[in-house]
Amino acid sequence: MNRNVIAMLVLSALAGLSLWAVELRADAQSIFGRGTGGVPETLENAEARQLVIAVVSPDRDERTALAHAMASMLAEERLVAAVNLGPEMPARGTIDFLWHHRFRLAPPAPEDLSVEGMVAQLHSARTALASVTGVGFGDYLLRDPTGSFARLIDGLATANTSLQSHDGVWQAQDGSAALLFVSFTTEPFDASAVIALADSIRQVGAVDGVETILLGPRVAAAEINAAMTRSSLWVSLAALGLLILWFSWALRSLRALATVMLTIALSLAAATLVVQAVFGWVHVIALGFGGALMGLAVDYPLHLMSHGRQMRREAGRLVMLGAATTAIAFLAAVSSGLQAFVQVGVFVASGLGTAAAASRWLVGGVAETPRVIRCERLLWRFPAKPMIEIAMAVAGLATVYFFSGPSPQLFALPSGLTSDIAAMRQMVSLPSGQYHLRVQGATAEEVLALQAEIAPDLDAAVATGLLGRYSMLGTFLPPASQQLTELPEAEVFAERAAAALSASGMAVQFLDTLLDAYGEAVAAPVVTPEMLQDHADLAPFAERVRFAGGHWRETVRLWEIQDPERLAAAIERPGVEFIDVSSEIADRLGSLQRHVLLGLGIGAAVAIAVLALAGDGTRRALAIGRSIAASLGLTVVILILVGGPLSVFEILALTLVVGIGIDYGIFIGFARDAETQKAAARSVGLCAISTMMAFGVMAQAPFQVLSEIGTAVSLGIGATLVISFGRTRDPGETR
Amino acid sequence: MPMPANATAALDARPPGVLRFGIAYREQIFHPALIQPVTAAGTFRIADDGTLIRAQEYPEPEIAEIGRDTIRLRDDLEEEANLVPIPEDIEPMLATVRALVVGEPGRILETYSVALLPHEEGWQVVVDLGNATGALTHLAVIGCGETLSAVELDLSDGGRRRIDLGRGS
Repeated sequence: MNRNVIAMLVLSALAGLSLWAVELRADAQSIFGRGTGGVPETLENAEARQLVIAVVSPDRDERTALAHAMASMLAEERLVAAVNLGPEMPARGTIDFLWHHRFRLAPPAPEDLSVEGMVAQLHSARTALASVTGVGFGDYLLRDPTGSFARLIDGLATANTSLQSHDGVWQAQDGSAALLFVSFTTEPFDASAVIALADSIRQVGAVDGVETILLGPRVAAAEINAAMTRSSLWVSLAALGLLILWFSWALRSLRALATVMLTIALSLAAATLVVQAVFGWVHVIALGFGGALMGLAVDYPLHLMSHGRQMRREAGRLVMLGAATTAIAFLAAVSSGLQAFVQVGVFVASGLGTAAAASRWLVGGVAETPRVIRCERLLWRFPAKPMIEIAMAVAGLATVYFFSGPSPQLFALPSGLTSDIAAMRQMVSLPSGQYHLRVQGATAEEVLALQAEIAPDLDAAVATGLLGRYSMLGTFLPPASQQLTELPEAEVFAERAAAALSASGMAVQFLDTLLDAYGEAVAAPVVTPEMLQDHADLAPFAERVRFAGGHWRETVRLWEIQDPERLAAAIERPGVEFIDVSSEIADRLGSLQRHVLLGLGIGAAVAIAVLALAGDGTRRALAIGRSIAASLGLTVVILILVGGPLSVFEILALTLVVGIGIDYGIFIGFARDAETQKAAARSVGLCAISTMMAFGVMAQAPFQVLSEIGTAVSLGIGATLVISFGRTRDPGETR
Repeated sequence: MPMPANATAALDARPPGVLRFGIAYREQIFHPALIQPVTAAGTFRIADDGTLIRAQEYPEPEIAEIGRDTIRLRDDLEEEANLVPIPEDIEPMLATVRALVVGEPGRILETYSVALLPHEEGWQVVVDLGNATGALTHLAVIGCGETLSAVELDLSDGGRRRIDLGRGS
């Protein structure tokens, strides 16, 4: 049976297995590692499950009606736990819970339990009876002369949004949109399901002159994922089309073309399955490097075919050597310890191994040689090559040292998302995205105690204008120690309450009702966050304190911060940390960059060492290493001078430049005579054109990560080609 | 005065002294805690957008704009309004008052079952609250002949309210 047919069968089996078994994920933890809460760690916590929908239209009735329609549609959605369309009265069960636990949640101060305090409260309660809301709440207020219940209800009202509503629907503070606040269920994040839901929402709002804006971590993540997938698909198809055209011309044979394409496809399928088998899932970043793998894997059959049958054996050895050393260079990514990058290492290493083995076996059945492109004419005399190469490498290192720093973000948010965030800030008072407080303790109780401790400082900051407002569970739920405030005996309360009723001109017979209500409230148990979970209206408060990384913690949201440094100084204490998210992200990115840069250095060094051991001697291996260092230096200088600090993905892409540099160096540098060198130059030229085509297309991708990788590799290949084609002497020439 | 023929005919009655800008009201609130009832007074009117406005003048000034799902509360001096959702269990009372103020009492019949019964003042149309176990236990529109005089409520907390329409403070 024809080797290509066998390969096709194997490929079909691997592709089928991939479709069945591979689970693709895109979580930030795998990139940043498990952190301390400043960087969005996961899409599974309560905050990440929130979504704000703005229906933008100048016609208030139209947008309000559309918001109603969206709420009806969302009520039927499996992914949606709750939709808040407008002001809602707490459920009767919640009001009863608050009533019974009022002394725990809003303990009365001694003055509230004095006769004067109760007289004042009874007067307020009597006035409140006349209010239109008195029918529902008036009786509660009369039965609690301490005012605890009134304070509790006021506190809840303050915790809620200050937005206005029209026809039961929240309206943006700038009057431009109707707003819906949606909570996802606790089902694990599923990007395609979230995209489908977002599409359904937009479909309801698809009316002339109406714009629907969706803002929430899950929707943003799903849409970035989808944009990246679309971008990758576009790049892959464009690159594939271009390469097929190019190979059809260059290889002159359908069988040779099939051999190259099968090698690429087999290596991608095998790499994906290996990563799935090792990790149980595949990160999109690892799969994204499939493009990079394609750029390398394509080289192996081309090298082999470019060498005539008599040179193919030696070329095969060099291909295996090149694959092994490049795989080692990529495996250095494992040292980062970050799953996404460890996966990249395993993905590329296993893919290259497969590509090298497959190409050797498949090319064995191909007699045709590629069209002759006289690349040997590009070989040039490079005077003082070692010195200049060292100078280029040093220039690269110096540029990294002096002009580089952590890039401000892992990748830029799509422009649509940043403009949506800006628009939403005009519509609703969003908490600061840059600053928050992290309150952390060994128990939830400790977190609440710390919050009770900082509350006066935060209130003072609000009073002096340092802070607009803040929101934390502790505002609503005091720690147990404060809930157990000592309250007067029933007899003492009865005496004071009777005096208060009498002084207020009220029926003293009502005292029995007051005493019953007092006794029940005194006997109520201490409220824990878990108890709030039983009430849909209160559960969102409780979910804000959560267990993560061995601690209980809450991210306290802050609004309108005027002077971050002064605020931090006023608040910080053991267990309470003022977080500047942007500097935390910069620290993490800096650390990530150092990890990846170190991995690149170690990988390159180990690859050269292996080359020295397995190749034709240390001197040649070092010469190749020097050329690679020079190529990297030149690429880095251009990237930094043109585009600023290197991104993590650019550094990772440079690992590919190391791999390609080793390949080119092996073939050009290990050529023993003029004939071999001519064949090597032709094969390297053919490979370089092919790889630059693939990465040149990637550089045009609209998604930043892909365009960065494409640009870095294209530049790197150009530099590698120029430097590796530069000769100090002809083969066989002696010093 | 003879009883009206049926509830529909009874509800055609109008309060006395309907003002150009609305209907004056006086509300008496009875509660077990009170020796004397609390009295509130003001006017009801309908805004251009259909919102029912309850403008209380006594004991404290309070403007309540009662929409479909929410009540916007503010006092005379306060510019910022406090938005309160309408508790489900007082909705029948607000719907009844709205229908009477708009002058289309037939709207009550569209939503609720009613019964026409005799009353010491003449007649009463009792609104059937169904099996609801909220704040209201009894809701009735009171009248005499062709004059509609009040809305009466009994509350689950032992309280009682009477809103006299067409009579201010």
